[in-house]
Amino acid sequence: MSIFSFFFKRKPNNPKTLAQLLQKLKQSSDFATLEFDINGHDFSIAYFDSLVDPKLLQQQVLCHLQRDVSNYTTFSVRDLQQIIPVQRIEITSDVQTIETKLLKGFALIRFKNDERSWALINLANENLGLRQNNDSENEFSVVGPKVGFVENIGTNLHLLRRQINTPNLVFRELTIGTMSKTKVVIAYIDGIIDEQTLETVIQRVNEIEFDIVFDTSIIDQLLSDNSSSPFPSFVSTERVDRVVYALVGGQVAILADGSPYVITGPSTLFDFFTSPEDYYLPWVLGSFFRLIRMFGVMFSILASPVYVAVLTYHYEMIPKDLLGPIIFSRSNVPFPPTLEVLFLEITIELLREAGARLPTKVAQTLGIVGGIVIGQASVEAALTSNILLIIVSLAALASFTTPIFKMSNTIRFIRFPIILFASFWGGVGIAFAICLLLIHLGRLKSFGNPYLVPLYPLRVKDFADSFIRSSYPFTAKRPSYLRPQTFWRYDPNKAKKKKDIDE
Amino acid sequence: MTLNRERFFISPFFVFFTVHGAQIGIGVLSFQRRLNEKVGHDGWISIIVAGIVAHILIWMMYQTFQLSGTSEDVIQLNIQYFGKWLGNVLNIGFVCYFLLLALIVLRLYIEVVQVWMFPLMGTWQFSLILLLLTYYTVLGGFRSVVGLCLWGVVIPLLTIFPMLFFPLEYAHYRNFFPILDHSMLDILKGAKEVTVEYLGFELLLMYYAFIKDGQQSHRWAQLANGFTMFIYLVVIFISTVFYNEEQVKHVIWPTLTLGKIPEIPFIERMEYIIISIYVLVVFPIICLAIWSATRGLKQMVSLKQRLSLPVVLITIFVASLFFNTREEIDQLGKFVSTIGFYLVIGYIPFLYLLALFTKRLKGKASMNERSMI
Repeated sequence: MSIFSFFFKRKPNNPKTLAQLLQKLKQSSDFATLEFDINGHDFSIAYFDSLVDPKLLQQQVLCHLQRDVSNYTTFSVRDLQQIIPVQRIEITSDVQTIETKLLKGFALIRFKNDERSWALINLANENLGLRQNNDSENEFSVVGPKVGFVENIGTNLHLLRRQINTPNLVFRELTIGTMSKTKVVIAYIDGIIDEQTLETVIQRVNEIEFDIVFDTSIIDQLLSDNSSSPFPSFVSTERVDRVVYALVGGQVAILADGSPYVITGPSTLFDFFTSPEDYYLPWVLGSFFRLIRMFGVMFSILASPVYVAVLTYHYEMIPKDLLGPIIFSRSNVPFPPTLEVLFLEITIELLREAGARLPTKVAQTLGIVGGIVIGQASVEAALTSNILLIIVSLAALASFTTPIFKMSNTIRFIRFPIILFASFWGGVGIAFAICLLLIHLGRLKSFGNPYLVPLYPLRVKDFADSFIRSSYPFTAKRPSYLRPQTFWRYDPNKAKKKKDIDE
Repeated sequence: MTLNRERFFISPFFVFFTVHGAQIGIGVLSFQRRLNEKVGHDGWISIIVAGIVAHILIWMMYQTFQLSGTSEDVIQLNIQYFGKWLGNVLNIGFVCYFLLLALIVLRLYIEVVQVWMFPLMGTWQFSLILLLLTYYTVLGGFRSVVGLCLWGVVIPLLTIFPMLFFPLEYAHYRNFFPILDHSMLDILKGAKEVTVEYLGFELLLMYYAFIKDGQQSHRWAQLANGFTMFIYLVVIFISTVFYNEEQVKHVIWPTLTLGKIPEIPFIERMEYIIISIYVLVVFPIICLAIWSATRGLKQMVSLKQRLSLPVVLITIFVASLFFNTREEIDQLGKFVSTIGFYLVIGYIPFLYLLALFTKRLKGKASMNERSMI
């Protein structure tokens, strides 16, 4: 709500009677009203043409009404369920309910002789205009299932329910958005989830005040503990296995209709650097790739600031063998290192941004043109040095290894302040920036849960699945920082039992 | 209320990081020279002696808290044992000491940066940015300060500490001999000199209230002190075998000079990296001291920390601008370390004895009462 809300504060002119409501809805051309008079039964059907499924309407409703109503001598709304083969026909007399349901794709049936109660039949065309499948191309993994969430929440819930085969999986439905009335579902596994966390989540989701929920990322921002932090508070993913893994670990998932991304939380920093593939590969390989990824993040954040710091202030640090190549490549560059780095970093950002906005086929060409031609040309034109080109492109490459898109954006962003710190105070500046980063991360919370756990607060036992992904006998316990009600995921003794040699 | 406060507490284990992090400060860069003046190559004995004294003092602190029963920090202790007036005078002294501690650590670090890296840079720049960072940290509460202490111990331990071993390539192990070449008195003098390096554990007097099961943390505090002693022994060992006795007298920061020795193919002059990462060593001390000072003010006159923090930081910022020359900084350092020395050597045992006798007297009184009945 903005400061202008004061001016807009007026009584909502909700229609009081059904006639008023229909009058209002009739302004749209896609609002259809059909009148019937069959054998003295005078009734009408009203619905939004654009929302209902015409096939359902014809086969399940119109067909039966026209054929079977004439068999009755007296017919009221309550008898509809007898002849119409649609599950759960709602009988209501509340105008407000009718308004919301009509806008969700229900059809309204009313009889002239009964002006007190009306029937609502669900004819919503749930899949119209939505894609049927998602190959999770934005979070690709070579091994493992490729099914991703789609825009339809029904499909998404189905995907979850199919994999977690327990009555303890609970979906709680809420409606968010004053205008979009989006269906939002909070999913959790009862008996694992910490009650307090769940309470926090539900309370926060209920407190959300927004007009249209375009995507879960909006909910994500509205829910986050510190909305001015560049770090994402929750993992948002389109992979089913990720969400299932989070639920089983004792986290909450939030789904919204119309969004193929699902939020899971409370998240920790490590959650953003784990990929489902870590679990599909043998633990040695999984751990190795995870470490590579983390090294990549460090490199990506620190490489260009270190270049700036060393070449601006601490050139004594360059050994004499390395001095030759650096002098050779930088001798014609007229800019100070800071400008040189900023120039290249911004070029890369432009390439990335342009690549993301353009159609896939054009983007590929652009990548090649931008990456190779501009890079080579700028070196030859002595705008940047060869060495820096290598450093910056390696850093860019490393930043894209992060599995969660939001985190990879954050990593691309935070290097800019660090570059500035480095250009002001050299190495000490970088240390300052790291300090600031660590304090900030230490203060961050996700649904009231510390962000840096298991590093701070230290939970030694939870390190089994952090820097490295230990083998499955060691990850039988759920992470303790989520305070799950039951700790064991499976029986580790059965898995751990070792036979003696030759037995 | 108590349940609510539990959120801000730290587990006993973290006392290891707060105590150790506060002990190792800027002094470790240069203490070899000062030690060498007193005891020459027998410095390591003094370090052990001082370390044991520190162990005993930590034990006394924990005993005092246990004996006092209700008091949870030094502010309450002072009022409990010295009465309201005298106690509050002592409390003001403590707050001032914490502020001075923050000031001297800040100024000494800036001096190192100025000498080694940026000779022309004004003090105010670093002072400002460090204090802004302090503001952000302390605003996050004690837990965020402790988080910083954790990083301030772990990261330097993983980066700076291994670098110190490179000079062993040029070691002369005979520098140690003859062992016990100096008199007992010299060794004790050296121990007095080096006790200052163990300072920092006295901040425990302030944040004891924030430890979950305070007494549980005793062994962690002792372990932290032991670890500090271990680090000092390693440093003095490497410096003794690397430098010769006369040479150390002319090196102002022997530990930093040790950092010049390592060489890897793509980088040289490691001391720059050491000085940079040293931010993480000094910064937790500043934050802890400032937090202690503001917390003290809150306990004393119930001044909100949110209000006192900016005032305290501005005071320190202004104060840091007044110390410009080596002599001034050195004098300030000597002043603060003298106060600190007498604080731990004089005040803590005195308080302990006082607590012990009060307890005894009370115990006897109640015994008498019981026997009367």
